Amino acid sequence: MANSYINLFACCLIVKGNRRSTLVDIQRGTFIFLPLNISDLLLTSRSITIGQIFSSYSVEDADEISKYFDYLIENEYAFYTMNPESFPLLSLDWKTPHHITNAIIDYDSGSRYNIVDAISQLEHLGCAVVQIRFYSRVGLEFLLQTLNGISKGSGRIRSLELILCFNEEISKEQYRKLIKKFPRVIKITVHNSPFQYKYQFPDSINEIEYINQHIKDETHCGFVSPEYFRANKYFFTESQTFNSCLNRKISIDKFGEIKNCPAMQIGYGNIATMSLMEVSQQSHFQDVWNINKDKIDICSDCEFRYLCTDCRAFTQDPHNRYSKPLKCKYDPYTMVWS
Amino acid sequence: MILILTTHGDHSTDQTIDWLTHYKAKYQRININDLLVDQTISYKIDSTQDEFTINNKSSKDFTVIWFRKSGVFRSSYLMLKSKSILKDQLSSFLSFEYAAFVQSLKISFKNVTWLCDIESVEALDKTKQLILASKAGLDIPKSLITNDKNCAAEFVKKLNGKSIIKPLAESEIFNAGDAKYSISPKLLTQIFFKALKTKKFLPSLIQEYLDKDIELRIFFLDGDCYAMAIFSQLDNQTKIDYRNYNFDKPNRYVPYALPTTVIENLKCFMRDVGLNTGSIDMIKTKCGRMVFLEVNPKGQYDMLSNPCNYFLEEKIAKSLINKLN
Ligand code: SF4
Repeated sequence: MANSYINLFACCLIVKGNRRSTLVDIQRGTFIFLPLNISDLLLTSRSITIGQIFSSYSVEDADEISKYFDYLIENEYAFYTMNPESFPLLSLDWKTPHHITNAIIDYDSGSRYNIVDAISQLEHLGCAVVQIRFYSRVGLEFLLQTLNGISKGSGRIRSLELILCFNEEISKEQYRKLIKKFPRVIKITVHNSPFQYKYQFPDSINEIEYINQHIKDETHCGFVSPEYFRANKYFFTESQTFNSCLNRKISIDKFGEIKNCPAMQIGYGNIATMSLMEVSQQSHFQDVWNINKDKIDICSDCEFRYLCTDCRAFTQDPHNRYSKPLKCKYDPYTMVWS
Repeated sequence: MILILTTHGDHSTDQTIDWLTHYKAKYQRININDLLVDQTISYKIDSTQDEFTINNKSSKDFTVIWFRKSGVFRSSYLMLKSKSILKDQLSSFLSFEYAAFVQSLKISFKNVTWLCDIESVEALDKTKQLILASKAGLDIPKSLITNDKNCAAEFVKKLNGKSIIKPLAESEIFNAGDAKYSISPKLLTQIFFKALKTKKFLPSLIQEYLDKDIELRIFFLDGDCYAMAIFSQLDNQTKIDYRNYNFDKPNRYVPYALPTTVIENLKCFMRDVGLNTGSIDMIKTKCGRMVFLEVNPKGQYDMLSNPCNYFLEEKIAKSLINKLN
């Protein structure tokens, strides 16, 4: 025992904040807190035996440390081994074969651009995940037309989320039929609804949800709080190097302006005159993709920085491109959510 | 051009194809289970020539073939329907027809480079694997195939009563209404033989029970090994077979660095069975033995690629592209 090593499972990763660390379990999708000195110890424990660790501390400290070790072993965050070199660290590389991976399309009663054409362009780009947000009511006819456009494509859009404004002329049953017909629609959220309702399709991920909240425009976004935290490999590794919201994202706002995010100021051209491909290949369009959390003020000291989704549309100081998200109420220096 | 033999809905194929598209490689995908739906095959044979086309492309255009999956014909609607008409008579006829067709596929491709050679896959069985693995220097579990109770009991006794019985072919799960029955590796004890009434049974595979420290899953590709350790021993539910998945607390899957001698032995073994790719199962025992169990040429590599962040889908795409040149 004394000459063995304590080794974190490669999927349990330490993120050091200013005053404490998180231990993020990207396999089971959870995280716990650790004191900084314990996380420092774990970061070096691959090369120091348990015996060596304990012998360099006082009896009380060693006792405290061993309590943490027991906890980590008991809860399967770590294991003892004689051969730490057999267990390499996880590579934190992130890459994708797709130039664009996700898109947001906004549409309201004043929108005049051709949404079916926009979607077929996304299909062509190989964009796998698409969210369409309708701020005002749309009829079933229009929805069917839009979705028919998608189903004619080559199937590269793999999941589609629809945010719809409540329309009493369309029943829950009709939405259900819609999803049955177009299973790539993985979620329909109906906002501004007088009632709440949730339906999960049996044996599938598809769902329908009615919510009371009225989503009037693109400002309903960018909230940072633990309920939105994500602990998974894809997100964690992408956040290491890239912006956790905007990387490889393309958006069309309700006026047809092509942007990184509909809520951001800068537009790069209108869909009426420019293609998504053209815009997405401009290097200044891609600039924000590389703003990872380590570059952002305050966030770079935060133990949640690879768990929360960044926001560049609403920041504390709009003149500073590295400013902290406005809608985050956490202070990593006091460890308090205000 | 690259030809991909696979099935509809195989996620691993989709992801590899995304990388092929990314690298602008030309490919043709054929979903063997869609032969009854929207894929067109024609094989013209006469005295002067034989010409095989797939979706109107001549077989001569294909220089590289990835044999990803052979199809789930068994669950096609034709098969299900035939079962309801003439019970097994018709469905077994259809199975033979299908197998004969797959056979003719092999002959129609000349001078191609395979990723996962169809001939080698078909020639592979468990006993052959064990013998060749052992010849290649790999440690293997002591094994016995027998139809005789005394023979089996004797063998188990020599192993200090600890042994395992597993299917000679594939593990299976049968559905009967709501109930599920699984044929998977099971522990055998000497008491089992005492209770057994019959003297003879269908020839079965018995192996020594290995006291697992960790299970290893290795994806082999063109001589490179990508290994993953599965800590199934921490969980009683998955001690014998990690496929008894625990959804609340999934087993730990982490990257593993194989000793170089094992890598060399595996390379040698794969060359001997004629495979340039496959998923290999091994066990590291508590006393440090590294034991080879089997290779599955068409294993699900995404169960390894994803947790270990190996990007195997991209590596397979690159391997196919390299084979074009
Ligand atoms: S401070 Fe920054 S990194 Fe921390 S939770 Fe808020 S937005 Fe995320």
